[in-house]
Amino acid sequence: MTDDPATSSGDVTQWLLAWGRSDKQGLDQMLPVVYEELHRLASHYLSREATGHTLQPTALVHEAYLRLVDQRRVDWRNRAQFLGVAASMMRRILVNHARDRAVRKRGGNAERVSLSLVESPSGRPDVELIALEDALQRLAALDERKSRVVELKFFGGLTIEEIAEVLEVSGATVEREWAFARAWLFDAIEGSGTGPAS
Amino acid sequence: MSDRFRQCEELFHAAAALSGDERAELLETACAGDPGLRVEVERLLAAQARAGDFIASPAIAGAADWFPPEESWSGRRIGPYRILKEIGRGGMGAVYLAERADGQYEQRVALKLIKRGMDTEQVLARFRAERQILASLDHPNIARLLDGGSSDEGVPFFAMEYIEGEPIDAYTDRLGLSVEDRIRLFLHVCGAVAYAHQHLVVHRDIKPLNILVTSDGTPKLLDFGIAKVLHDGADEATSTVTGMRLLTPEYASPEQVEGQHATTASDVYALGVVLYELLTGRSPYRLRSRAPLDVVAAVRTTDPERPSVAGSTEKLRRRLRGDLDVILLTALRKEPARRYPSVEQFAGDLRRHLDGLPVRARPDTFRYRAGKFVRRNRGGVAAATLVLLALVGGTVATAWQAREARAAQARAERRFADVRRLANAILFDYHDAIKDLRGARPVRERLIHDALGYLDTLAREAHGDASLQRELAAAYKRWGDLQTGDARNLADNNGAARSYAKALGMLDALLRSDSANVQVRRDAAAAELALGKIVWGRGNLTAALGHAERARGLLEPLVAAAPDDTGLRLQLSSALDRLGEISLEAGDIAGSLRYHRAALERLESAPAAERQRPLVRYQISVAYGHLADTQSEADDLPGALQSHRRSLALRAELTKEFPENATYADNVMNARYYLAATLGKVGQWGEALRLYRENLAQSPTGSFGLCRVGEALGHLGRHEEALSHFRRALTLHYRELRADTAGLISKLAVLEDQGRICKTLATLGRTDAPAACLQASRSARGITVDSGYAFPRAFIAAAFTDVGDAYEIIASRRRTVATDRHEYLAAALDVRRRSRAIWVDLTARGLVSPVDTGRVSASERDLARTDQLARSP
Repeated sequence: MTDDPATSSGDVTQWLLAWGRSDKQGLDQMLPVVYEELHRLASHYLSREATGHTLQPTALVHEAYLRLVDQRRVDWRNRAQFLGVAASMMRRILVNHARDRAVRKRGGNAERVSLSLVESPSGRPDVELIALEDALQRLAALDERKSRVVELKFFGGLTIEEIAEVLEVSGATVEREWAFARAWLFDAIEGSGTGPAS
Repeated sequence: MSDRFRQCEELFHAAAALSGDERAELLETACAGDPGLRVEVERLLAAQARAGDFIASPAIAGAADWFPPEESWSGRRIGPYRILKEIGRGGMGAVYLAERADGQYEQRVALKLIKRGMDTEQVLARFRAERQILASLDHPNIARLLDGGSSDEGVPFFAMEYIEGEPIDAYTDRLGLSVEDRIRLFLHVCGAVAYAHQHLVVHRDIKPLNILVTSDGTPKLLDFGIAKVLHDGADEATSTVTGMRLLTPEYASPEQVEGQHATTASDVYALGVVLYELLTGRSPYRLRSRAPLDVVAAVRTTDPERPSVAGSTEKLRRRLRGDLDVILLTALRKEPARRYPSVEQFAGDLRRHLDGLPVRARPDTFRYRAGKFVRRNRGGVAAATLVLLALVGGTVATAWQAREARAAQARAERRFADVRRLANAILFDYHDAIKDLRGARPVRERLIHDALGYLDTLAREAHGDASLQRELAAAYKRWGDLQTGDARNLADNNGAARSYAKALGMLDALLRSDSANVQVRRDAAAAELALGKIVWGRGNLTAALGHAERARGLLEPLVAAAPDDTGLRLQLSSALDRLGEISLEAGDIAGSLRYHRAALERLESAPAAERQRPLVRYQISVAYGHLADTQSEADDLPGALQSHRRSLALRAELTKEFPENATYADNVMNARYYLAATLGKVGQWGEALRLYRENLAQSPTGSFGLCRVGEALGHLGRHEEALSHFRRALTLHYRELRADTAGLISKLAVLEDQGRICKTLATLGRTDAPAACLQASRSARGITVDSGYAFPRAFIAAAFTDVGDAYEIIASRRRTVATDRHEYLAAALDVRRRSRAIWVDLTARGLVSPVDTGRVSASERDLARTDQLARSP
């Protein structure tokens, strides 16, 4: 837990604005701070020991945004950029978390997790997060943008409109990408590993 | 490769939009000669069909399910211990039952594992420092801290004496213990805490879960001092937003919650909360929810409910009334210094109560204290002076210093601390204890009467003693303030005016001999403003202006000489502001504008450092707001808009910087309202709507806000939406009206809603419009108000106008049958006549402000038009 003054919203805002002006240094400086914040929020939420917290789970990325960025000084484009970056970090955080647990479960034996679906007691098919991650990476090799849509929507919790802003496409395009990607991933995970032809 | 993928994708989308035969046909055609493609697309379509909720919700939402609880630590070794099983979970980590793994002792311990990420290194360092003290706590009611360290994997832990028992609240409820038995049990806990305090250990986290009672009825206090080891004060109360609190807010004292260090007084408070719950079964505060933010707000700002009110049965309430009320409320005081100074004293009063002896915490009445004090000091005037100076509270110290130099009163010196405490007690008790008592008014009046009597006596003897005179003047002023009181309490303006006048009399006399004395000038200015306010309230504008001008005269040179003195500057600007407001009321618009601009100038010309202070910025926002009002009256609407915008901008900044400040939050809303209302006057309803919406978002249950949003929507032609807002506002207003049937404001609010609803229904051509008009008309007619009371009458007149408009709209609809049309126009005429009658009468009485003078002629025109309509076939 740091008392790092760099986490003041002024700095992150500066970096975000800089990045928006295509100054990559802004992004580099911003990333660790954002990661730290998201990590903190996520691990708090995941630890399940917060009682009576008012934080909605889907709002983590937005929460980080509110805490780190001075909204008066940024516009919707900056926001879109921030959310985009935050979403991919959320993905990293959650996947790492899953991998950590998988390793510990098997007592250090980092075996590959089975790809089969696990039926939850409620009957809804749950998905192993790691399996999803693998499939997503394979999808990215075929079509970067579809993978990105999934990253933004599933890991980042962004809405269709927000995704449209980040990717600078229309909402309808996002919907289509999402529909296809979902089907592809479902098939990839549920199938015997071959998946649809690449 | 990618071509194939694209093909697949396009086909997928195309096919997905079709079904059954059409889909099959499409696939047939498109995949002719490429069966592999068809297989792929069909796979994807099938996948889509079966996917269900697959990744439909964001990852984090379901994440908790994916990560099942930490698998068992059981059997693992942590340091010299082996874990047997989990026995609980807390904010800091889990607690396990463990035994010594090295077979050295046959001891079972409670092992608390601290979560990673809690500053492990620092935690361990602090623990080592505290260990000596914590381990030395050897008391039958304290669970011993045995050990601490970190395991090989670096997991930090604490090992404590394992206590098998249940939390004290569960225990007492299960056994159905009586009030006496609960107190007796509690006294053991007090003993433990007192012992620890003697060893300079503060618990910091006392709550029922930390007080376990064993099967033989022995309470054991857990987790002593651990809170301190874990987080050394600084971040105790932070991180409220995500709820990452390590304290239990329901038991944390106000000062802990505000981030200050916990002291023995905080433990007293927490013990108070525990006992309160043991005796009443409830929390001392009415909590809106258990969310940390709400609990924190309750702890910091609301008063605990009297135990004798909180008890669940009449019998219990009777039992708790009196001593136990006082004892508990003393322990729960917001200011640490006003609680029991030690746990021993708290316990002492409890024992006295159980033994039937009088407790010490009962607040004394003024007479009792004063009487006793005087008797102790047989010294005539000197004694009266002591008492009086005690009354004056904060001025005691300076008065004493003067006194000491003048008279060698050895006994008086010893009494210094007593008097200070006495003074505080009297003033505080007066406010706190009396304020809440029913039937207190006669007591308060007697109090004030007596106190003023003392002051008068002393004033007679104060010649030549400048500092005493000053103190007395201040005392009179303070009594004036008390007499004015706040809105709900005692308001004796006549008495207050007399007190202020007396204060002024003395101050003026002092000024005559020493006109440059800064303090006297400031005091005199304050008294002038205070007296001026009362006089203004009585309608004597000339006199009020005079007072404010004198205040200004006293302050101007002082501000010029001391530009860094923010207090002076604020005082001066409020005098100028007052002059502006009174001028406006007197009709001197030019003068009002001058004064308000002067007020702004004084504030904005402050040195940069002063100008940045929140209080100054706030005052500037107030000044802009008043300037805007005057500009509106002067019909300079662009100017008014600009001023309102500036005011809003400042307040928005302030509330962003100080999100917890309720004053700023409320006043941002006010600023938005004013700006929006002014925008409405110039027809910029789009922006007005946006502002009203912001207000509604900030205060979603505000009925006034709903009405305003509806009004704006109506002006933008969005009548359906407007209607729904008016209806919601009406529902809320009905509720308020039911609770407060005589309330004029509630009635007017209902009327406004009904007026707007009927007009909107008419505009939308709804069939229930006439009924709504009738209802509104009836409401308006049913409100009786004093003829000289302009504001509500104007309101009613406006409502009649709305109803008249509505009837006209209904009448002019093509659908309306001729006979009905006639009736509606007749009804419109009726209400229009009423409206005009009110405006004419108000104008005749000179109660109509310049901006509204147009209303009379408008109402005449409406009437003429309706008349015309009624006459035509």
